[in-house]
Amino acid sequence: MSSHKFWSLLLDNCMFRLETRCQEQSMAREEGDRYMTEKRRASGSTSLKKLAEHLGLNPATVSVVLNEVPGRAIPQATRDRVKAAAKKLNYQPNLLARSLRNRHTLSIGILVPDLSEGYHNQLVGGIGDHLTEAGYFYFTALHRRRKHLVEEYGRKLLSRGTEALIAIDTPLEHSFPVPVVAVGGHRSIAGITNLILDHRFAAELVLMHLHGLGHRRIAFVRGQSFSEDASERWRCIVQVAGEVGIAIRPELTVQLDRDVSSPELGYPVIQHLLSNREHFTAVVAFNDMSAIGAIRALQDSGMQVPADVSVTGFDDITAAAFSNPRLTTIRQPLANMGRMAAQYVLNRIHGKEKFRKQIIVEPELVVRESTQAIKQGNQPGKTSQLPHQ
Amino acid sequence: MTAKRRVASGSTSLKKLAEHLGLNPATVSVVLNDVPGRTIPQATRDRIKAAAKELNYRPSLLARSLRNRRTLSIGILVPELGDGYHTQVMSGIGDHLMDAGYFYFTAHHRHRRNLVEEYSQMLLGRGAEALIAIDTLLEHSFPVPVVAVAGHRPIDGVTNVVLDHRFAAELALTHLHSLGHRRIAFMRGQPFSSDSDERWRSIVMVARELGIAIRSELTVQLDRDVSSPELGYPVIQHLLANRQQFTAVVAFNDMSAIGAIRALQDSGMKVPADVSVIGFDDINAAAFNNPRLTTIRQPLANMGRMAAQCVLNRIHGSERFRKQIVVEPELVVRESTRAIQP
Repeated sequence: MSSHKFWSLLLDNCMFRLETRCQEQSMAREEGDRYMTEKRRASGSTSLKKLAEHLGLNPATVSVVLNEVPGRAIPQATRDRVKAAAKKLNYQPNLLARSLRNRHTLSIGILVPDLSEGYHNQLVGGIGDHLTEAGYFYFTALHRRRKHLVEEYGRKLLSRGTEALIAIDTPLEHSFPVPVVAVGGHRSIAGITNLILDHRFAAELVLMHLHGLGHRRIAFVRGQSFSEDASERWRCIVQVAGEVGIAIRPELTVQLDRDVSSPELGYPVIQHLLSNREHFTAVVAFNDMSAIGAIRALQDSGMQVPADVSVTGFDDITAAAFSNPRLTTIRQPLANMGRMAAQYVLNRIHGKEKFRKQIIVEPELVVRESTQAIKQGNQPGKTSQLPHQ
Repeated sequence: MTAKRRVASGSTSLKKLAEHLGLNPATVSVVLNDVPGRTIPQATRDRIKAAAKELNYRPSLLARSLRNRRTLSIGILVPELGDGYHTQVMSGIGDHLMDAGYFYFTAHHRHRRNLVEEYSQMLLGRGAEALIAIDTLLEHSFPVPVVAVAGHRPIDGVTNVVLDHRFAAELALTHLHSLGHRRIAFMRGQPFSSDSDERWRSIVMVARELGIAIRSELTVQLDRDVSSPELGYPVIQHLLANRQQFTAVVAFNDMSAIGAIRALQDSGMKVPADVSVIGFDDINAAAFNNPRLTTIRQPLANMGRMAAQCVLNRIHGSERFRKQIVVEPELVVRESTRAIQP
């Protein structure tokens, strides 16, 4: 295609879109007004027009006062009078209709696999708290990791006028016409900002900690293949383990596959290792939930944590600090990451911040009770002391 | 023209689509919206649908919803999205609404009265066809169907989904009573939590019938607005610091029970050998706690689904208004309770 042809096509395309948009806007505006009138009739509230009539003022003046349009010289007495009458006559601006006029719906769409405890709800909680404070609401779409639902819900959220999307642990496949933040996203897609943890540093923190305590025979619990973070986290663990001199043994590596987010996640995989009479002094769990399940599985077969086996988690969910023993873990500042994602999309919507490809968050090692230095008898090379039932 | 249009990733308007087809926009609209009772030949219908697909015609839902008065969205009021109760109820609601083609708006009011009022008005302003309030104190009726999960006030048009608290109290106290417990410490829920009063009233009533004394020195009041085990930790610590003797704790919920157990363990006591602890809710963490928690199960996700189904039925007019839907609790005996040592 010649460059001239390309530009004329592009221009044509833009004009077409602009035209469509204007048309839609004016249609929506008319319908918004009509809707408002009907709704008022139903609920017994007053329209701006009625309010202005009642006050003997121009509707524009009333609107300026009620919407606090800056820079207009309207006497304070008039302002007070307008506000008092609005209250008395139960005037409520219709936000849906207003949003069609302004193209501001003050809503954000959140795509998340499910609302399970721990990771997902702490992130959504952080996002929601922040958005609500900023006067935005959010739609939550639970796609249960089904590819067609991710696609469908993404589209539906946009058609409901969401001004931005936040995707949590959701594989996105293309860009969108609004600002998007992907929490835990690792793909590079135009217009999508990945908010990710520094996984390399996280792997260093956890492996140096265990290495420092003398652990060498370490069992690893790998995340589910559908979890966006799982492959990146694993890559970093393998890399750092190689550098620190910790062997990753296939017989001590278990793969999570169930889509649950309760401690049930980690229970059967550790049971499986124990029933195979594998010997290990530490477990690096994929997350806190699976770590809590792993601890329960170890305890149920008569082993003590951390006396016999140390266990580390990942995330630092609220339950981690109250598990017995309290969990040593790598903290992802989840609620704070949610807040950051929310603030960033708001900044993009308001044009206050430029597009960034990624935002990196630093993890932190939180040492509690579930890890300790290995006992002499547990050192590598010695025979197993595990109680076998 | 189509070649150019296809380059556009944006969609086509109804008008453009009609022009392209050489048809009246009304005809196109009738076909695409499946308006019943119009005689339009099948060939024309097929042609319109094919063109809509080819030109990537997408109806604007926002504009359409204004015409139909249908926004296919529900507003949800929730104090926060903490672990346990709120999240499990929300997740039941969410799954059910999504399956029915509805989306939902959520607002977090953190139990602040002015925010409950403000956000409910805003949700209605955005066209929510119904509201679901979780653990939220509502004070008046609304122009749309409302379901209040754990709501206890009778309000016009508000359906309360409530647990049978009297039965729950019977289950918990008869269980402890039959294990020989008489000196029992009680945790009262926070005053702002919807279920606190009703649950406490039932406990007092059942305790009296069973002959279990409720001692003021063994009754602690939760007041912090957190939903982690942190809730139950300091209050039990406080009882222990006062050297109170008790053989069992009836916690307000599972989170506070888990915190209570941790506080007991941290001061060298064993659960259940020294003290039995019973929770309430049966959240996911209850079964994996050490010891596993004996608790009263509220079918939380199911209560969410029932709330969602109720608002959908009322929107579609397939169900009459009900003042309340009562849900039955269940006793789940695990490891945190046992008979007192002689």
